[in-house]
Amino acid sequence: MRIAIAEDVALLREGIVRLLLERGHEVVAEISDARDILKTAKELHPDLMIIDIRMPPTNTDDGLRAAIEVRTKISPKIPVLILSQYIESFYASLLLDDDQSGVGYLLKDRVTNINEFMASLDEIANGGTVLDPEVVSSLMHSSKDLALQSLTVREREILALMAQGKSNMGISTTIFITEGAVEKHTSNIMSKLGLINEETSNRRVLAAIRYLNR
Amino acid sequence: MKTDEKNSFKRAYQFVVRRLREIFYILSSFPILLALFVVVTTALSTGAFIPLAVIVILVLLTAMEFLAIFEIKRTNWLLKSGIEQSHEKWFTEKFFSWEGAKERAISARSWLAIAYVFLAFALSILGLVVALLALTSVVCLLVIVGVIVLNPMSGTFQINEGGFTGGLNINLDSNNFQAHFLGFDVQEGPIDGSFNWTYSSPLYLLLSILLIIVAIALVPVIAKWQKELVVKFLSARSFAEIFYSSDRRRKTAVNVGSQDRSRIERDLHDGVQARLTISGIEIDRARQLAEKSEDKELAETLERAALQTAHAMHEIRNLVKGLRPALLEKGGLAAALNSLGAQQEFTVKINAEIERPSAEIESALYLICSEAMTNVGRHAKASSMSIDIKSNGKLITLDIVDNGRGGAKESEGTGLKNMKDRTDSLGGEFILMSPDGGPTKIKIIVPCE
Repeated sequence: MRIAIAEDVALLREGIVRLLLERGHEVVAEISDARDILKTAKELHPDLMIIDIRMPPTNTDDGLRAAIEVRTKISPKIPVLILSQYIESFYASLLLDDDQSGVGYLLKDRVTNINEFMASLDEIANGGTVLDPEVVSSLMHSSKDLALQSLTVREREILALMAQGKSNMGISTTIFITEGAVEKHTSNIMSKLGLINEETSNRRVLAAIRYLNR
Repeated sequence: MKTDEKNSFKRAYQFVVRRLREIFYILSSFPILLALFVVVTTALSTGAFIPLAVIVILVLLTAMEFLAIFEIKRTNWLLKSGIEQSHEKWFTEKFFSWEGAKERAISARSWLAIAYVFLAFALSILGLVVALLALTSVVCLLVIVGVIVLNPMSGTFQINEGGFTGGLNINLDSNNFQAHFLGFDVQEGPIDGSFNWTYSSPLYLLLSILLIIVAIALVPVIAKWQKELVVKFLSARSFAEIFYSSDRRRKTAVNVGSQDRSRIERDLHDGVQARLTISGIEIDRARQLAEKSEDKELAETLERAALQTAHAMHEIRNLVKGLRPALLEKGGLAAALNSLGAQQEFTVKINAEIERPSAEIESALYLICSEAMTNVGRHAKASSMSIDIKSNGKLITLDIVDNGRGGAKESEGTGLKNMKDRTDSLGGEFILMSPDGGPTKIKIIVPCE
């Protein structure tokens, strides 16, 4: 797919570009200043944008703000993966306030697992949501909801995996239980939290995230 | 010899010019400071009519900046001195704003300038007397020298017959020359070149001469005092500026500290962290190759390398976070602490709805809380902790409570000591209550500024 990458640290940008090219993707733009993100998005309308949060000009959260602009100002929506050295639940909730389909927020560390990283790119480009396990756990920690406390340890674990964007099958291979067992857990979770158990896994993910982020 | 004469003449000339400048400076001070004194006392005495008084006094405080500029210019011009004007504008806020009013009302520069008006006015009264005395004396001396030496035989003229004490009386007619000057009686009989010097009273003469000497000696002293008042109360080296600059220096020192931290953070972010990520990618690539060639041992080795790299990335992330998280800058204490709390193994409840303090205090409070969380995680065996931060506008209070096993002592370990040190550096108070069996409560009170 056609990917634009916004990352100001050249070393890292080149590393990721090389990975993408190896896996048969096309890199349509390499951006090192957050002020160029919106323009690039408008002109090239890539299939996916990978954006670093901390970028010039101010080196704080310029990338994230540009990403939110891209999400709100351009239609059809461009899928965006936010990469960051840190996870801030504050930023996550800013990002997730918007429509969560086709959004990802991963630690830069995750790039080092190439296969999983590539799978995440596909997932996001297809309108899915991918959240770093740390994002999810920080959302779960900062959530003041009492219903969350009523979940068992196992259920919290599965909710976290759901929110990370994993399908039932993905969850079952991660924690070594059958898909049937996963389904039973998820419906328990949904009923405890008072959510409608959506048909597709993606919509279920969204419901879980919305719940955590409210 | 000639050059010596020239030099002494030059010195005498300079001495006279210098004294005249000083006299003029002192004399001009009196009307100016009298006017200022009247203005300032009138303005301050409008105090009875609130709210007019508020506006009048604010205008007065604002105007003091111009007074300072004017007085420094006047002093530099008349005394040929080089007093520095204030290096910065006294006020940064708009006049018609609450902040602006507050700034003016508490401006040390303005109040010092008002103090200057009172002190300089008092001095200028003394100065007026001295300067007038010295001036008349100098003028009289010049006249008498001129009369005696240069023009002994002009027609009849009188200056100030029976004039003021210490003054000059000259009677001159074609035959007779008489002059009285501060007790001197200089008499010349018929013009034959002989002078008769007499004096009316030796005591009077002595006092008169003393008076002249004192007056002339006092002129430079009073001018210097006056100048010192300008320097100490109005200039770039005034008490106020010294106060502000030490404040500035302190702030700069703190900023340097946090700048250093920011720089280290940046270097780690752009350098080490990026490189670690790249190594991670390369290791994963190698691992995939090893898997492809079914070299199980190599694949396992690389897996371990990947794990180590992941740990390193994790550790560096935590290290960097402690330095000065970007989120603290952006979102403030509550956001940064919530984010930090969310990463702990136990529940952390943050309640920090306060107005944002200065970056220095904010950083310190963040580090204190972060230290507290680390402590609880390491030692307390707690399932939850809470951090409440409140402010009453003057003091910020932190209540840090956990439900762990208690028994914490300041003397043990560096965590609590760090927290106490940081509290001390803010001029605050650190109270630890941690009975065996818990709960542990820490109360920290620091001033807002």
